[in-house]
Amino acid sequence: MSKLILTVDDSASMRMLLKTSLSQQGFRIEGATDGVHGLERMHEVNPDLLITDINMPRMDGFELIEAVRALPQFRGTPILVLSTEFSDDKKARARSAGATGWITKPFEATKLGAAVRRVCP
Amino acid sequence: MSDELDEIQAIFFEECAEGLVTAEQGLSAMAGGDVSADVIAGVFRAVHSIKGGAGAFGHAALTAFSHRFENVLDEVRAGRIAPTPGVTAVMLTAFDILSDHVEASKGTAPAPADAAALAALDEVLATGGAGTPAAPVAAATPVIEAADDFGFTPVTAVIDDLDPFGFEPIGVMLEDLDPQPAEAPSEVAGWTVRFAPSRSALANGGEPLLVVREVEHLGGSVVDIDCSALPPLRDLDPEESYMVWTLSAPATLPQADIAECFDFVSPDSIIEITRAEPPADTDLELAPSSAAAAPDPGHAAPEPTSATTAFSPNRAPEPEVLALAVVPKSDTPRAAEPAAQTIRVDLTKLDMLLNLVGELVIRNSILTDRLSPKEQQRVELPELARLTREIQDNVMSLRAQPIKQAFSRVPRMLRDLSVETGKLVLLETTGESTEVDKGVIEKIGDPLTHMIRNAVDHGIESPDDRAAVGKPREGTIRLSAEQKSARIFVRVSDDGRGIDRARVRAKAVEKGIIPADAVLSNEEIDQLICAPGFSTAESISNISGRGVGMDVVRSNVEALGGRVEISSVPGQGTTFTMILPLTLAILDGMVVRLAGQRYVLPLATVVESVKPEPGQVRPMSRTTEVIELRGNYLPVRRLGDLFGFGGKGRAPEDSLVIIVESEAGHVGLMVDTIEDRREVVIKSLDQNLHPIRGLGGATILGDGSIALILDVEALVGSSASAPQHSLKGLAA
Amino acid sequence: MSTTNSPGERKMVTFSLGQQMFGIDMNALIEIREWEEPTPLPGVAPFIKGVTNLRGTVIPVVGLAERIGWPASKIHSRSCILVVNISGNQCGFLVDEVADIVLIKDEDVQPAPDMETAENVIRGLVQISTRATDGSQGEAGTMVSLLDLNALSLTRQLDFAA
Repeated sequence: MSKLILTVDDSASMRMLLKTSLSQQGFRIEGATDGVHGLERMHEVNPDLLITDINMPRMDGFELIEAVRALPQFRGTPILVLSTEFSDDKKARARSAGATGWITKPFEATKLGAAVRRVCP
Repeated sequence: MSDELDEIQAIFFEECAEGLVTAEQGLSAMAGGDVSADVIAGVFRAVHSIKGGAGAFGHAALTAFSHRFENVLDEVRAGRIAPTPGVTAVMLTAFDILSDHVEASKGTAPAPADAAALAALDEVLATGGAGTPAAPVAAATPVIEAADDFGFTPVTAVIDDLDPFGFEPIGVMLEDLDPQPAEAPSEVAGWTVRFAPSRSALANGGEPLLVVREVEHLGGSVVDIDCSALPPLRDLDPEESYMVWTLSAPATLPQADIAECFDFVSPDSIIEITRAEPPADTDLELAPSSAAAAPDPGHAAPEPTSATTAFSPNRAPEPEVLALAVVPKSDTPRAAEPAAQTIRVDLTKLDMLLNLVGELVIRNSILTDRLSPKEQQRVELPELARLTREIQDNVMSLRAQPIKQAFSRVPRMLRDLSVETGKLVLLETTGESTEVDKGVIEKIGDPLTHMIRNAVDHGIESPDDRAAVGKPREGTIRLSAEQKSARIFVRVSDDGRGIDRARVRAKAVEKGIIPADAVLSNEEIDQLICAPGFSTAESISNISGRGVGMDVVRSNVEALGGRVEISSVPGQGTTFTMILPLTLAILDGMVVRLAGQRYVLPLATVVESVKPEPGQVRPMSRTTEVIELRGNYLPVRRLGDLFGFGGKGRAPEDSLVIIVESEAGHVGLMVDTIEDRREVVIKSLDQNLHPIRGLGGATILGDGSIALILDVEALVGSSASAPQHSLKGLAA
Repeated sequence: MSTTNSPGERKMVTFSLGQQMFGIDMNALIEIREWEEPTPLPGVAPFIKGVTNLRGTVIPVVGLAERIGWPASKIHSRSCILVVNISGNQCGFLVDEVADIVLIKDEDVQPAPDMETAENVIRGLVQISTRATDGSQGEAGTMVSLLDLNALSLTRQLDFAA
């Protein structure tokens, strides 16, 4: 069974872009529209990888990661953060929230695939 | 593939539209003094999302502009720049340019001149953020550099990827590419990487082994694993890191690519990337492959040494290739055009779907009519009805959109008009979330524009004139939307000078629209504004004095099956109301019978029904009747009279009086009987006929027959006002 | 039934109102249906008989005879409704009897004489040889008035203050 990825982004186009790109590389994709929804979906789909945007209404990406990491069953689930820029500060912030890695938007299909495979074979 | 991307891009543009609405509302709220964190965060997020998507779809100008805008918003959000009125004004201007950039990205407008707006944004950053270290520097940097700082270079590569050809081949390439360390040129020493992951690299679901595999994917291989730190099993902490890898990687790989593999594990892990000979050689080594790619830059280069060639389009380290990749895309908005068309196609299909669903609903009620309750249960009709309703709700909701989409252009327009006319205008908006069929939203754009322009041009006075009569210097335009039964009321009110009836009348006579001796009520004079070719502007202004204007409003609105009402108080202002049908809607209705015909009353207007006792309904004059209800007298109208069906009305005690609610208060409508209460599908009459005052449409009942839907407001109102309106349908 | 014609030719549906034959372009015809009492509308011109249900669409039914200023048609067993498309809008016309479908050449159509009437709904006149139902050859032929459907539109823009 191919790996299941949950993508959380309030932008439908970004979710579709992720889905298009990753499903072509053999991943199964589920989506959620913000942090709160993402947390709900985590329980429903129990993904192999979580990819989340940072700036989202209701619950932002960092809050989502912290909430996910607080749950024992997701302690080892890899999480990638999406953002348009990653300063060292932001990377540190992502890591301390519990992110495994990050992807810079806009992403190349290959780089995205490589980043994903780096945490989710 | 290309279709798919176009579709995603179309969604992106819809998101842009929503984002712009959000941003504008937020900025307007800020301008109005609401500078709460939520509001600012909302604006930031909207602009940020536009930037993100713009980058993904290769809209360089939009990306660059939204980026600069976002910089300022970020500072405001962080509290480093205070959202003073001045700063907010700059952001509002920036917002306008941002909207233009979005249009330009769609290919529907030329790229806007944004230099002034950018300069203003940078000014805000430079002065407002003086106390903060990094920000002003970043802002003062020219676009290109700023882009580099934030890692925008990939944009160019992405453009390539998003090309119809891009996605698949590249994705496959990486997957299928076998590590080929043997092929790595051996003339130059390869890279050596020493990798000692830290404990934290294993935290957060990290897996160093995958990093090692990625290096292998790039053509590297594991040379050595140092397990000497590994403790005995019983002492082993599964979350600790004990291993040190030594890897080799092909000399042709740029160091950055190797480093990137370790990006996620780099904090406090030991990662040493070294090579035996000076790295200067690498560049020389790369040159031939870049030259090989140059003749055919858009595509993967032909066939020299396979490892290098296969990577070069992905790597894209060579500037000349980059430049070539950018140019064709950035000035070709071709992807945008089919995207816009997709929506149009969808709507047609939606319409078809909606019609079919309407049929389905009607078929359902036919079955309900024909089958006994027992039979209905046996064939599971209730289940079918429930499903049908769900389908219907879903299809309807696909078309329903908040009216704020139509309102969203107004603030911008007012700012422009304000500049053109020198008048100061405040906008108050209510009821933006009122949901209206998408078709209606699209069609009220023009009428709304004319109404707003008319209000600014003819209604609102100049600041000095206003001050002279004791009004605030700023005029106010109130824009509102509300749904009442089957109609949407969209109002544009101004607090301006009101309609100058003497002048309107004189003009109408002069233009031959009315005879000089015509006797007209105030309302009728006001209506003349909507007469074709009528214009009261003393001089033809830029804005609304072109002889087209309110007559266009009237005909557009009537074409939609609606009507325009005007009310004006001299010196106090004018209100234009567009009363529009909720076409394609479902109505909860009461089916009543009168003189053998069935009519539907919107249930929302029905207060109660009364079976009059003899003497409870009495004549008040020759043509008017009242009903006494709990000590109050309410006017009673006979539907038959209102419709001119003539005198064979029943006696009140053989009839029913339905008390309805209207703007004119409670009114009794006399009908023969009440037949049913049900949801009906509103079928427009206006498509094939002129609108008939008093009717909101028609519906098809279960037996296939037609019942007319009553427009209570117009019906009750029409008897009070000029009767000639009710004969609109006549003149065809 | 093909609705495409060779250039210079067109198919017309002919029908009678009283003693007079009329024709409309076949392309505009959606269907012919039996007369059925429509639902009356309030406050409309007497020639608008009401509305009827055409497969889920509510369409107006017009008494064509009255519309063109003639005495109202009497309903009888052969009365029928021609459902036509007038620039995208659908409308039913009550006629006395549908006669035939004929192919006419544009060159055979004479412009209607200017009759000084308020509005001209006749686009042209054409002679057609009557199809022989009794075996005899059509004689002098019948004059058919070709209707200008656009002039009969119910949604034409009205003059304000008319």
